[in-house]
Amino acid sequence: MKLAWILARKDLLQTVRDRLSFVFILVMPLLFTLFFGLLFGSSSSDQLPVAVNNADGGAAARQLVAALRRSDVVKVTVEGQTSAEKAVVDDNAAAALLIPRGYSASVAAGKKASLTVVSTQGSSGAATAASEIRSLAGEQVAVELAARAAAEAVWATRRMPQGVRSGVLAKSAAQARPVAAAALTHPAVTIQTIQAGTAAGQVPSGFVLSSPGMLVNFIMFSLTTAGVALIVERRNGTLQRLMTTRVRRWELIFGKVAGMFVLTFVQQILLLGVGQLFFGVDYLRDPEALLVMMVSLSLVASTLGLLIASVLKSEQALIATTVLVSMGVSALSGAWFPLEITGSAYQFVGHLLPTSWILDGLRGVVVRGFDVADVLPAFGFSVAWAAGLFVLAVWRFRLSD
Amino acid sequence: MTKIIAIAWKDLRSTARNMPALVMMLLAPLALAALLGFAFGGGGGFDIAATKVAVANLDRGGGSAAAPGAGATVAGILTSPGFRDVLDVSDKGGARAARTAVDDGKDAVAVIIPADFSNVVYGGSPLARTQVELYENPTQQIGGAIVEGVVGQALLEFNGARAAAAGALALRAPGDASPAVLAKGAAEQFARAGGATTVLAISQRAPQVPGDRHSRNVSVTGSILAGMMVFFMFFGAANVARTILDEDRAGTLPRLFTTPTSYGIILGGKFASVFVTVALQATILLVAGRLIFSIEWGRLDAVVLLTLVAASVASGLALLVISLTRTPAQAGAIGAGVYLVLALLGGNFTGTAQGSGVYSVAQKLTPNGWLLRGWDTTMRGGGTGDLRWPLLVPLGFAVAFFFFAVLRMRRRFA
Repeated sequence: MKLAWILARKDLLQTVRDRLSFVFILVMPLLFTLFFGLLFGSSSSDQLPVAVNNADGGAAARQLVAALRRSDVVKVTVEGQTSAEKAVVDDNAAAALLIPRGYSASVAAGKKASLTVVSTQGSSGAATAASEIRSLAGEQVAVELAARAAAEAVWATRRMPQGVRSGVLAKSAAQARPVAAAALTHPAVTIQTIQAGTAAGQVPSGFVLSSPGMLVNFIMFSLTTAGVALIVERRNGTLQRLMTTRVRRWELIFGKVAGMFVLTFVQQILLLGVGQLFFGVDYLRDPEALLVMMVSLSLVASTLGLLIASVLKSEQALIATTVLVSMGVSALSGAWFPLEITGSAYQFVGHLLPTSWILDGLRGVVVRGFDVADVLPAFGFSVAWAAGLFVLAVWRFRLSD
Repeated sequence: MTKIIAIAWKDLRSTARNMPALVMMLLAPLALAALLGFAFGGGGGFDIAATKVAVANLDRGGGSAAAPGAGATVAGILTSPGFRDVLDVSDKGGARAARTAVDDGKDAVAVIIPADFSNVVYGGSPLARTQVELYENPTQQIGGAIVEGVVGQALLEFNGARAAAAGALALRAPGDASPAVLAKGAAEQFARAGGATTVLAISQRAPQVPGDRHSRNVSVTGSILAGMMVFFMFFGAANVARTILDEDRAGTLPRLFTTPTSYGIILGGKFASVFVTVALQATILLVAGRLIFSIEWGRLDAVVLLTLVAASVASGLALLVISLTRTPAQAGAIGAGVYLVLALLGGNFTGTAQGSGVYSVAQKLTPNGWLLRGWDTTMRGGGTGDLRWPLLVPLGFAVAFFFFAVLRMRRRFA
């Protein structure tokens, strides 16, 4: 066992002394975490730019634009239709709102009123902007409908000739409108949103949710450097020479895995530390649960790295395979985007991988207050995968080409 | 020129026999595009799984089939056929069971309707207040937003009816019907009008490209394959460019320099082989995208220009990386890192649709970010006239990469 740790230490020293490896395993992921932390940390509080084309100009249209200007969610610029649509194409606006001619008249008459939201499919900013537009326009239409309904209800009980009634209805609706608006400003029934596991009203920011995904992405990618060293040693005969010493085959293999395990574990400590200290990602909410997840990720990464390096012969093949595998695993596990936006079949396949369980566990620790008991299933699944990968790696492990 | 073609042809044949290189250049982008296309339901649009919702209706008011309570009405809206594709609703009976379902990860959101819901909604007190609780899994924000939207619309109708009642009471004059009759009449009139959600129609569509009457959504798989194609073109170029270092180490290149052929022609042949290889790679991927995924790439002239500029960027960058490194291993590692950084910044994995604010600015600092915008434009039906900046900016990058690569190579091989 001691020899195995010596071999692991040798591999780690080699990696640290190789400036290139040091940069790509530690410095680059750190810089990226810092960069995306600053990016998502600031953008989560930014108002979404919305280009509005008001082709109507009537009272209801102006009120809708005014309501959007008061919103904390969107920031409005008023433009012509072509420039509004171009703003979306050029990514200068999350969405464009087109208010057609006749909108105000339709709203005032209680008839069907149409609006068009122009956006790029798949844009989360556009979805948020559209939701805000729907909410504010809905409230505006509700005020008009309520005012008309109030007037009609009152005049239904008064006997008046038809010809006079329509003019009087409009006047009464105008009188009722501010009362209806006030009632809707302070509605009787509202929604209280509670995020499970967090303090009431707390909503996790974009970076809080994306940080674990980036961690998994970089850990998978760093398999390249770890695997290349093994391939080079195999090719230049180092592994065979080691077998002429007291080192046994299982110690050699264990040393390799241990080296990769420690490397990925240290990587995690650095990246999680940056997230915790600089961007408020509360990884240390439950240190024991976090430790369990970190061990799970390093176990999976190190055994997978060993398997890939055991099977492949050249550095080029290793780089190609690692890029493919790391990207595929990241995509399937929900590291790039939340699995909830995918279909059920994709989610099922994604959850066959240990990395998706680890990601769920990490996000659970950070935002849902998971403890050790909550992450144990993910740990167990990861250990099972790691054991399977290790068995395969040992079976395929060669001392020479 | 013949010698340049001969050198380029030799490298091209060598690449064609290099299986790992072919996997990276062709199989990887197609496989990842297929995978991500599968994630989002295929070519046309997004196809997400229904959000699991736990409902606990604690409302004590109403309760007959003819006059369901307000709580039952809200629960009924959530289970209505119109939302069957987006909501998978189950009744948990009590609030604790509903919250536990969310805590255990079985459901994304719990909707808990309070006991006094009907009393507040239908009651006459203007000061009465109550809240519907949405207990959400914070890691499933999209599902939470969908449910919030649906419940919010339902509550708007109740609040609208109460607003109508308040308006009617404000209009009441001596001799009019009783307040209760007027309030009830106004609320019913509001409901008869169809409610705000029926009157308001909001449609969504893709932006129209200037000069094009039609608006087309960019196909999800097309957008993903464009991102993967540009990303793997970097690797494709790097594979071929790395042969310069391989041949330098093996001594082949120095021996070539001892021949009457100038080193400019020799290196020119190498440069040409890189460019031709990635242009061919892109062509194969575009054709495969059309045949396998039915992706409409857009007008031929725009597609050709974008492809040539992308090939220039990829080959220029690969040659620059080679010129700055000493060994093939170094080039492989540094190159992989540089390409990953550019891909993350440029939106190759997320698409330009997700760019906003600072991230949008970061995308515009990369040549691949501009190329992806160009692909979005052509897939929307745009022509060469709409591609001015998506072509010129990456071309500027490519020229700069080539310039510095040549400077470095001159010093190295002089």
